[in-house]
Amino acid sequence: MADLLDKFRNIQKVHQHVVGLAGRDPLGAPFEKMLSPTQAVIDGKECVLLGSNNYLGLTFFDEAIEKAKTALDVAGTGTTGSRMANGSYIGHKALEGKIADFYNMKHCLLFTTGYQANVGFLSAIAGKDDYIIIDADSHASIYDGCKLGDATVVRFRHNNVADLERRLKKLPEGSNKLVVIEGIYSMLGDRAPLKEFVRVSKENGAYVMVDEAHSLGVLGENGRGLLEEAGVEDQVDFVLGTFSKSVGTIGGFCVSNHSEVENARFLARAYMFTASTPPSIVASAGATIDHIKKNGKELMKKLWDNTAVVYPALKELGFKVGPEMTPVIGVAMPSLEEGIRVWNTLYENGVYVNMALPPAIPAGKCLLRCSVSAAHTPEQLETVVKAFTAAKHAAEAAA
Amino acid sequence: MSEPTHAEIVAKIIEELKSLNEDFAKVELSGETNMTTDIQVDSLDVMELVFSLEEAYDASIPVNELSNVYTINELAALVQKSR
Repeated sequence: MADLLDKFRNIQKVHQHVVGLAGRDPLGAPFEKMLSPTQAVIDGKECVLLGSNNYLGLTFFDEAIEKAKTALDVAGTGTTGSRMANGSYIGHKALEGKIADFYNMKHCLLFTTGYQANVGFLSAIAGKDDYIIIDADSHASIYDGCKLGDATVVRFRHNNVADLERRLKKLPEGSNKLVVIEGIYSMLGDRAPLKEFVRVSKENGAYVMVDEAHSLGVLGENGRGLLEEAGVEDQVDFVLGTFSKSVGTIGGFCVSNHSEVENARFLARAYMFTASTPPSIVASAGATIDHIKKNGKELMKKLWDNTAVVYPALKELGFKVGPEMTPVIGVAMPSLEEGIRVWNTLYENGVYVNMALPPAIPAGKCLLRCSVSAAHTPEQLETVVKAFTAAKHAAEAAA
Repeated sequence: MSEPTHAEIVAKIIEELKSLNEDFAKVELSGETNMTTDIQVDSLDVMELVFSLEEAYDASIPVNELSNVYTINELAALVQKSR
């Protein structure tokens, strides 16, 4: 019989294999010094960050830093408990109001991370006899939230409206159904056909939840995400989001016009049994949300202008990129070895990207996940394109 | 569509597994084959296999129920139940 620790030993072998092939650790790159939102010293080398999810480049936003420092002085480093037990700080309530206002919705619940928002909300809202219908490419937090609850979970083919509709029609008439969609999918960077998804969901009596983790500050005229871009803000029941991408810090939330959602505070274990967001994080998230409200359009224009440099360039070089142009650019590699070779060439040419390996993607494959930022300078984008060109030449030479 | 028999679904599962992964084409598969321990089907292969079966038999299999499925026979029974 396998030893309890064999699981760790097996994964250690895989990790060591990757490190051996790369000559360094692509899954644990040491960031020695942050130089800006888009530049860092990694293992002694200055690199352009093309794998940060820092879409609006606001991690060094001066007002957010100042407000965080003040909050540290005034309220301390942490809350040391959940809001159920230790109470809600004024900042928690104020930030919930600010986010609800941003989305033009009535209710907002803060979670300590975006992961916890999905896990907490999904496990709380759907119980025995209820159905959650999810896209096959859903984020791990959505799968985990489903696993923690008692609902029956049905999975439809990625972004396939007809498959969702077929499955909804097979569910018992009158049953409670929640359809879960993401704004931009985190690996390939494609958008959901949200308008159509909402239509078939409503026709079949389902509630709709949209996770806008990668689309807040990226899509929609005011940065409210895919639901704003698709014009379905009044039809989506629950919006989940995170501060860990465009908002440049950490934390999660759920907004809704359903007043009953306030009671998720007493059901969501990921809300009840963990410490609440520290005051400095609350302060910086609030300052950045205000900034996005005022200046989001300008930042998003820069983000999309930069995306329009990187995505077509990679496509033209022959890299297999995701199906549509968004700031999340997944570059599919035919094998682990090829992925590591390209990742290494990019690093040696001063560009850092994320490496995604199975089980996030199919066995034997590798995905280099790139994310563009509004803060990338023209020079940095030039470095990016040059590095991918070098990677292409290296691959051709090795073939 | 007429009701498929258990044996027909087992044959379809074997056919789908062999087309999903060339390693599976090299081994003898039967209803008794344990997909986890005998041939180590990974989670993404399972997802693709299940999608193919759902489309072939107009079924919708709950994700939660897959965790109790190990053999090809058990998967075939689940397909029949989920039509």
